[in-house]
Amino acid sequence: MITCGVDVGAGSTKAVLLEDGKRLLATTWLPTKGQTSVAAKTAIETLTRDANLLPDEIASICSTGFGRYSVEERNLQVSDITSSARGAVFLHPAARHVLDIGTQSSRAIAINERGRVLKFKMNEKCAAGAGRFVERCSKYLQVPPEDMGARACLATNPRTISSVCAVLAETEIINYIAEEVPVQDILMGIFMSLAERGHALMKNVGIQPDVVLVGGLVQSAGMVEALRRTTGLEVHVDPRMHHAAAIGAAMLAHMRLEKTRGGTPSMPASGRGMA
Amino acid sequence: MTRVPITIDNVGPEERVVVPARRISDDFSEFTQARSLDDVFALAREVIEDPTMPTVDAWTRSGRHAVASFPVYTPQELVHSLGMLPVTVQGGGEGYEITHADAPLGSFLCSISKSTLEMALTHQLDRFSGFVFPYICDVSRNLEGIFARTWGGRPTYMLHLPQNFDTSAAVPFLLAEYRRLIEQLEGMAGRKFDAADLAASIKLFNRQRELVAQLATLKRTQPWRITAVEHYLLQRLGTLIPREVHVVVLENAIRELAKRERKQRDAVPVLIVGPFCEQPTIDLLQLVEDVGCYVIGDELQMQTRWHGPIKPTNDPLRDLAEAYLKAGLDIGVCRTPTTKEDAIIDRVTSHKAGGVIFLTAKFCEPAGEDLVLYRRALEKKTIPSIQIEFEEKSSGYEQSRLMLETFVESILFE
Repeated sequence: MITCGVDVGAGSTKAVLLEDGKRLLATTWLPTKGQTSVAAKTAIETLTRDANLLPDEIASICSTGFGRYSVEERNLQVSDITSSARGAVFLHPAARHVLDIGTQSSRAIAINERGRVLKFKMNEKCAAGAGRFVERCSKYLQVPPEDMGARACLATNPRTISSVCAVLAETEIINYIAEEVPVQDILMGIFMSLAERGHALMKNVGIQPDVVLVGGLVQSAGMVEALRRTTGLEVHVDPRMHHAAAIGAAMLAHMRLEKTRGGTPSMPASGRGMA
Repeated sequence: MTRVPITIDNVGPEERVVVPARRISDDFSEFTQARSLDDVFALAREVIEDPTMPTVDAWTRSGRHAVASFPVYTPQELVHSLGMLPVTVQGGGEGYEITHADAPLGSFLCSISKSTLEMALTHQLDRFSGFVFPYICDVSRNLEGIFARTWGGRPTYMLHLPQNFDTSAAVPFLLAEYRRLIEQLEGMAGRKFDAADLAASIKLFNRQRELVAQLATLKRTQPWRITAVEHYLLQRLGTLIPREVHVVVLENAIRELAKRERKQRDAVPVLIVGPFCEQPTIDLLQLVEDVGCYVIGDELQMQTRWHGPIKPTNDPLRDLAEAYLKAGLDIGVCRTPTTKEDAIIDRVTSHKAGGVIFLTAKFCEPAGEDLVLYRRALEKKTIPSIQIEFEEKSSGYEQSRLMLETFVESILFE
């Protein structure tokens, strides 16, 4: 039985196919570009084509992410906190604490051995602790986002970004640029700032190893290094963690199908919320 | 430059009280003769959300008196026994703009303290003959003082309720306090208190409390028959209309709800804890059930639910005082004969709830203090819980939705 998970994020849309809730068949990624339903549809079509499947061979589609309600093809939807937690355990079975730094928000999630969410905390109404902040810094520093992490690791004297507000933090960064502070020192300061906010969230829910990082910054060496320095913990990363939420969604689609004994799960009557 | 104090007399004439858009008839027959339950809910929502208070307008048009009280509990039977309409004023609601009340009140105070004062300063409360403030927290206590200075000399009363429920001095203290309140109410009503009238009022309020309890039982045992919002609307309506009318509304509603056919959903039964004073927005309440919960117990609209029906003796005033002290619901804001930790576990167990949603008003200290104790107890027993903070001016519930969905999914996908 093949299920599909689609994670429609603010920055990018990720999708995966899973066989019997256990085996990863295919993954894809594309920028959302503000068109959530189009991105989701494209991702599902790409996966189906890559895996040589007919559309009706996908038993169930579960959407997640901030655009989860705009996925017309979905059979059910779950929050990205729930799906990230499940996906993290799928990829790293010893995971008990998930730090998810997404484009729009960050969350620390305490989970059990099955990936069930025990407690979570989100950053509230502020971009300072989220990936969007990094994207904006990339523009100020004229360093492509994909290069920021590696360059940050070259820092010899990381600069402190003390403001808790993204807008004010950007002002601090501009001041550092004016002072001709080396770019790598500013970059590491940015990641340290992000890591400190993430660490505050983590402490709020209680830290249990293993800690894993999910979301768009898993491939940033600078972010991982900043987290290790800030938390003093081993932070487990896996490039596939970028797809953790989509994998979790596909797993939950499988679980739901099993619960309904092989039947096709229907949408909730309201179209929003769990049936 | 001379500093002009903010009072009701300094507010411009353009802000004088407006006539409500909806004219409610003098006998409130719209509520008792509605064509359907849905019509009752729609009308209830309309009058609840209208800060011009059309039901108070309907009552006072013919010269009758109405007395406002602030949450959580005032012995409104006393107001009723003197022929006046008791009304619980619970803030201006989501769309109410604060332009004057920010001056005497700090930004770190709850929404309803500000919007209630704003209503007074902009003449929305001019139809009331007085205002009673029970001592629920420091903010409510100070609000009485601010009203006394700013509300154009209308009578206000700070009701001192005992903090220690078990001492032998509690009943005599409360009786003395009620007698002081009666003196004030007599001045507002222009007539003398009569114990026989109070006994009759208690009898009527007993019937109302009985029906409210029946409704709560229905919501606990068959939550698919009535939504959390509908339950809330029916209860809150009772704080705005004559109790005689509310009794008929409740009798009709309970009869109709028993016949109502609705599909039972695969939803998580939850308790809502925390909003015993400031009420969450209707949209937030709806969201709780939209994401997959059934609210089977809550702390909303505590005025009518503080205690159950009163067993009458030949001393109705003492009956009223003893009901407050000895027959309060076993929840934090009333009295907890056990510890708060034990009380929350008992409530979860007795309701067979799958989890607890703490809806706490921003800057509400009493709710915040209880929250720490409650969550610690729930965590020890691994009972799922979540806290959502709200205020009157909440807008956009995406973050709350995400949190509530995750909470529900963590239970459903176990």
